[in-house]
Order: sequence, then C-alpha cells, then structure tokens
Amino acid sequence: MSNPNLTTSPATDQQLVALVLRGNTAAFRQIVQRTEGLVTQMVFKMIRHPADRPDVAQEVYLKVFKNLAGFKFQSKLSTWVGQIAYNTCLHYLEKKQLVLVDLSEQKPDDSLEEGRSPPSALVAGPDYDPETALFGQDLASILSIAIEQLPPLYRTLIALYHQQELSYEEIAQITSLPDGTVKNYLFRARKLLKQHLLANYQRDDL
Amino acid sequence: MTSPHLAERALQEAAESASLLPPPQAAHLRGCGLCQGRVATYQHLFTAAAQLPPPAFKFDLTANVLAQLPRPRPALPWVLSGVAALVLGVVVAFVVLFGGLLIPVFQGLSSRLGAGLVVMTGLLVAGQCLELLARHRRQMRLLAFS
Repeated sequence: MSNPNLTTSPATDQQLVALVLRGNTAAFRQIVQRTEGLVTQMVFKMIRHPADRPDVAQEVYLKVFKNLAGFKFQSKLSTWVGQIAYNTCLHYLEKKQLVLVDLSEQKPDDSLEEGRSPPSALVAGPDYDPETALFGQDLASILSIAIEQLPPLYRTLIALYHQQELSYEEIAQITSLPDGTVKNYLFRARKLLKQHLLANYQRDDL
Repeated sequence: MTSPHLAERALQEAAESASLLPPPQAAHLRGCGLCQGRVATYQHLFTAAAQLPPPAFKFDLTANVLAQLPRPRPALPWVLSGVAALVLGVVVAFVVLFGGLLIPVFQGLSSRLGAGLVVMTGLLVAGQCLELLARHRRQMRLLAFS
C-alpha cells in the first residue's frame, strides 16, 4: 500500500501516525527508518550480549506498532520511540538482573572539584599537547573500548548526547530522569572516559 | 595566577562552549595554558565521540520488523459478511413464504409462554453483548502500554 504523500515530501509525525493507524505499512516503514539509528544505538549501548540485541530491537518496534494509537504527540515521535526502547532495554536488564549504573560510581569525586589537584594520571603539564597525546594513537578504537567499559546508562547517555546529538531535555524525556541527573551522569561518564584515555595514553607511552 | 584552576565540570562546560562559563572562570581560562589544555582534551574527546561509527545490525532491521507486524484484519471479513447475508436472505425468504402461517401460531401462544420467549431472547442478547464487551476489553488491554 503506497501513499503519494510518503514519496513526494517528508511526512510529519502526525501524518505518519495517522497513516499507520489506517493500516499503511509503508508509513510504519518510514517510522522505523527514521528512528532506527536511535534505537540501534540504545540497544547496542544498553544490551551487552550481542545475541540478545536483535530480539530487543524488534520487540521495541512491535511495542511501538501496538501502542501507536495511544501516542498523544506530547513529544516528538522519535522521543516516544526512544522511551519505548529505553524501557524495553531496562526491562531486559531487570530480567537479567543486570545493573544500569553501578552505585559505587555515583559517589562524587571531590578530588577533581574546584581548585584541587587532580590525580597524577589526569595531570597535563604546561607543555601538554592533547592533540599529540590523544590523536597520536588510534583514538577511535581506544574510545570505543573505554565507552564499552562504562555502565550501560553512561554508555547510553554518551551515545544519545554526542552521537545522536539529542538535547538534555530530550534525553531526560527518554530516560525519565530529571535534567540535572542526566547532566550529572553525563559529566561522570565523560570524566571516566577522559581518565581511561589519559591512563591508556600514559601506559602506552611509558 | 591566583585564581584556582577550573574544576572538571567547568572544563567540560568550556569544552562544549566557552560562553557557558561565568566571567571569572572564563577570564582564568583565557590566561591559563593548563586549563586550556584540559579543555582541549575534552574537545577532542567530544569530537571523537561524535565521529564514532554508529552501530548497525548485520540484518535489515526494517524488513525484519515489517515481516513480524500483525496482519491487519478487516473489521468485517468478506467470508463472514457473505455468510451473514446468506442467513439473512434465508430468514427473509422464510418469513415472506411462511409468515402467514406463523401469525396464528404466535396468536395461539399463552401469554406466559410469550413472556418466557421474550425473557430467553433478552438473556441471549445480553449474553452476546457481554461477550462482545469482554472481547473489546481484551483488545484494549493488548493495546495498553506495557
């Protein structure tokens, strides 16, 4: 079943949802294609076991399809799909009894707060050249490894903010976390990444 | 330089946009090579994170999802419509052909028997309505957000 609106101009969220509710499969294909990147990012970041990811991703879209009639356009369609993806992944983690964020990592690291000296691994000297330091190596692969070592929620936040380029507000809507918590977790995640990168650089350099 | 170096949070904010910093911290940053280096580290980190290749499934997710969608069922399937029309036709033909014979039969029924038939019919209709309602609720539950 095709619709001229879908082929001539990009359809709005409202148009797509109305078409899907009338049984238009092509419209649902567009919804999947528009949100596939976001859902895939979230599933890959939150589900560590590769074999489980396809099922979770497909479950997300089946839920989207079943619940589309209940979507009230209080957010962007992609944000709503992201919410379903997040909740589905969360449900998976709960079933597997996996931890979203290690509570031990939530303690604030005061050593890096205002005016105090950071640990030696983080110290960059006056002649420190970060470009040489970080781009002298395969930064992408080191960064990928570092991201993989973060807790699932931190990995997800990094992906949503830096790769999907979502705003704090959109991430807060998707995760149902307060804006401040999102910012705080993102801050910690970036700090952990930097620590990992600098430590890694120093180890290789020595 | 007497002002303290930027805290980690301020470094991250500066890496996103220097305009996010309060004026005293922005002034410190302008004159501090160490903090500038740390901000640059975060900027490289953010740039590299944004440029990481997005993950992808080895299969066509869209095609798989579409293949698994429940097939939409018409509200009144053609077969069911045909059967209903046939039954209705038979009933109408029966009434047209034998209607004249049925009237005396009903006229001869006692009022109690008539009332009983009405009650029975009412119960059957009520039962059908309840079943329809239950089916509707089941379908609405399936739609409910889990």
